[in-house]
Amino acid sequence: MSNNKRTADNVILNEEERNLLLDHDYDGIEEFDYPLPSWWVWTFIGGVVFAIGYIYFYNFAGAPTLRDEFDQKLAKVEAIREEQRKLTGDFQLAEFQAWQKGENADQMAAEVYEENCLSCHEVGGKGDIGPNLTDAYWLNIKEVTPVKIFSFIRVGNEDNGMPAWADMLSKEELFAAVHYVLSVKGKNTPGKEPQGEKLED
Amino acid sequence: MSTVTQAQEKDLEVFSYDDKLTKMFVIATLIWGVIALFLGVWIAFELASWKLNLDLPWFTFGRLRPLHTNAAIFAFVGNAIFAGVYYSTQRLLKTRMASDLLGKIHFWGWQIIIVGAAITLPLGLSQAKEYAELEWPLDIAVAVIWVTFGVNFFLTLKQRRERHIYVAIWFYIATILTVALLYVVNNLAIPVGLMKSYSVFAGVQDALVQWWYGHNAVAFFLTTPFLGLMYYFVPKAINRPVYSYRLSIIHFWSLIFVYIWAGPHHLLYSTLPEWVQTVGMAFSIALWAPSWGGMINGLLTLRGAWDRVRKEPILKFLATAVTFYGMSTFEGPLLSIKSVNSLAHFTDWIVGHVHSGTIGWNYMLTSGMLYYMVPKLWKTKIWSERLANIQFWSATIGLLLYIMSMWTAGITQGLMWRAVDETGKLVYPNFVETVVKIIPMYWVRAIGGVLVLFGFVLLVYNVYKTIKLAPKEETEDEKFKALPLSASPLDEHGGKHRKLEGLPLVFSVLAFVAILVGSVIELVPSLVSNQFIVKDERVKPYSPLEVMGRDVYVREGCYVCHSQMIRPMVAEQLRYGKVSQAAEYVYDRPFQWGSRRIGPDVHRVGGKYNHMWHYRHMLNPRDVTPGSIMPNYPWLYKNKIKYSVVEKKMKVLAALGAPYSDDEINNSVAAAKTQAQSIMDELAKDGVDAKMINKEIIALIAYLQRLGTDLGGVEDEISSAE
Repeated sequence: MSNNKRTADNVILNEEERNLLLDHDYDGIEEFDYPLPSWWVWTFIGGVVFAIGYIYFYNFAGAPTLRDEFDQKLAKVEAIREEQRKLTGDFQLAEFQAWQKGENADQMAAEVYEENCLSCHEVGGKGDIGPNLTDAYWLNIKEVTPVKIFSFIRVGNEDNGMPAWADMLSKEELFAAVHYVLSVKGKNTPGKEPQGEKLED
Repeated sequence: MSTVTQAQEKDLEVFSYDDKLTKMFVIATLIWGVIALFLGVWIAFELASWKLNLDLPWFTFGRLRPLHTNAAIFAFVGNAIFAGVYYSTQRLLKTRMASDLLGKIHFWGWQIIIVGAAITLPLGLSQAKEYAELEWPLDIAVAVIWVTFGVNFFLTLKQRRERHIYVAIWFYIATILTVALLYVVNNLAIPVGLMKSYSVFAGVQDALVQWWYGHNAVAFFLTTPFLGLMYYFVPKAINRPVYSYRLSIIHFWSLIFVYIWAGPHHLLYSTLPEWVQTVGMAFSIALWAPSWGGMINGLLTLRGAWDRVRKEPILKFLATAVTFYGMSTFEGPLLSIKSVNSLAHFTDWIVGHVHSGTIGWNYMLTSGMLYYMVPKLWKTKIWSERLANIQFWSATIGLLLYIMSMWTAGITQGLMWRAVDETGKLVYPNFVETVVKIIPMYWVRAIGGVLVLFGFVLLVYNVYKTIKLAPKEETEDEKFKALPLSASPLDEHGGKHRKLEGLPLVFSVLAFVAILVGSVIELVPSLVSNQFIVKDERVKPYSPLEVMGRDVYVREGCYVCHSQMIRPMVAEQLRYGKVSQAAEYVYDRPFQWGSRRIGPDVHRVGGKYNHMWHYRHMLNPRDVTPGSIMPNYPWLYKNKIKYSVVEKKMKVLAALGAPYSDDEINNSVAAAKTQAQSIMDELAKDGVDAKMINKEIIALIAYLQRLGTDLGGVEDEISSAE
């Protein structure tokens, strides 16, 4: 198939290649006509077969939708979370006080506060976005007791921007938060102006 | 075949090439390349160290990232495409471009558009749709200039002296036609001002159209023209015939037919109807082999000359480009698999994937092409092969650092986001923990970027020296001779496709049909069916002040870092709130689902914090979130809300379908001021100066507090312990 029209001076390796050379010449570019690599053909066919099968399975053969799969998984996790809520919801003063006597109580309280509360209640609970925790005024509880503080932190108040911490903190971490609040209570650190009702002297 | 006989000798036509145009595009590629890569490096450092946002609006990540992507795609790669297309097309068709004037209009028009982008995007004049950020006047300019290019190209095809068109030309045809369609449809919008418009599509529809465009910008701007360039420059540089003609045919048609369908893989797990997601994913998998057809043809063309690939920088660049093309077109289908996507989407893995394409394929091929073309255009030798080699290694090592750091960052963060412990709680409930964790990877990536940029600067210097030392330009263009088209008969023995190659017009029509099929099947149902515009009476249009706030969100490019799409996954619902629903987006023009969570999803941020939290947060995010890498936005506390445009905006939104009554439109300013007052009242309680009432931050807070609240009610309240 070689001919003298060619302007190309391409490197041709052997006779087999020469036989595969087509009579194409574009600005000196020639073309072989090697057969398609078989692994490539099978990849191609595989891709098409997969696509057809996949579309059929999910759109026509009643496969579960993403939403179905999500609902199932969510139900499982929700069941676990419900259990946990019961566990954290059950506040026993004695249990809390025993925890307070543990070695790490102060340290854990400081850590939990810093990671979760500091951004709104500021250093030492002097308040900023959230209320001042060190004064005698309370916005969300009517009685300053561990159980009331605990319950409020757990449930939060969406309207005031206080999240429901039960979803993020374990029972021990909730204890730590309560412990911290009790530790700064009454310090009257200058910070945010008092909010809510005066409950203590 | 016969030699040119003496009888034919007298028929030979004399012509020259318009290489001046090619040279201009080469220079533009170099200049914009440096700028685009520098912007990429700069914003990479912004993520590693937030202070580089400089507290100035024009330098924030949200505004510069769109400038980087647009500059890289349209300025750097765009000019490279035009340089390569003008150079190769004239030679492959044995003719000068049909019109020197159209070429000049194309060149200068394109550069003016880029300058326009470089001015408007940092100013925040943006449509907030990825790679389609340019506002409507620039969009019209892009369409006009693109058509100018297309007209010149097709007129050139008509006056060709080569009967059959080569595979490179096939790819150019597909590029020109498809980009025109994609660009026009995705940018349909109604102006509300000289530099502001609202998309004619909303919510789910807008998302679908945008990612049909976005994905195919990758396909038909970054891929098909470069495959065309590969088919010209690889065989030219190595002096070997192309490996397989029949592979060219099969992979060309399958690639353009399949590619156009794959857009919805950007929207897996979103509120896009599931059948569209399924189709998008299936076609993405089917795309693997067609893509690799191009890689095989490229690499096997180099076969038999590997010893030269080791020595010659041009071939190193070309071989590496084709290899990375193969790698990223394997990674793409992999990332489209729903379960992989559920981990990788919204993470840096995607960012790494994109850059293995853009740097690995586009940058490398462009470099090889320039090293080939420049000495030929200026009739000299390249100034320094050594410098070219240094560039190659610098860019390759930089790219590897980039990709590997992004894999690490993406997979790490993706796993952290989804980690739920045995008590059903998120292991990392504070989003910022997952950000702090990957900051070391941001440094590695930025350093990788520096190496890539450094390599490019070497290229620019090398080309500069080459041109400077080149012999003085001849005043006359070099002359070539060829027989007219009539002397080049249709190849009767070559089969049907061979005949088609002799009929460019028919070929073009068929190529256009190939890309229309997927477009029509995926897009048209979304435009006519209610399936895509789920209505829910509880979802209300935005209030006038919220509209103003949303436009601040759009202007600042918040979508660059924050998604508004809570996917149906347990960890997402735990972290962000109730899974998003399609009906919630029907008034979103443009949609703001985002593609990367550098910060957390904000779809349900409404009501999550009080006004004061947002007020503090936008002023200095670290005040409320220690470790945050978000910029400060002090100008939102100085800029006033532009009440003069509220009514106009309401009117346009109403015309597009938002059910505002005439009263609501006429009283929109008063309504906005009332809402601003109520936000101000609350902020004042926390000590904010009442003068802040007319500042943009108030409008932004109004919008953020509205987000996701219509259908966002938390389903199960936690019962009290008492």
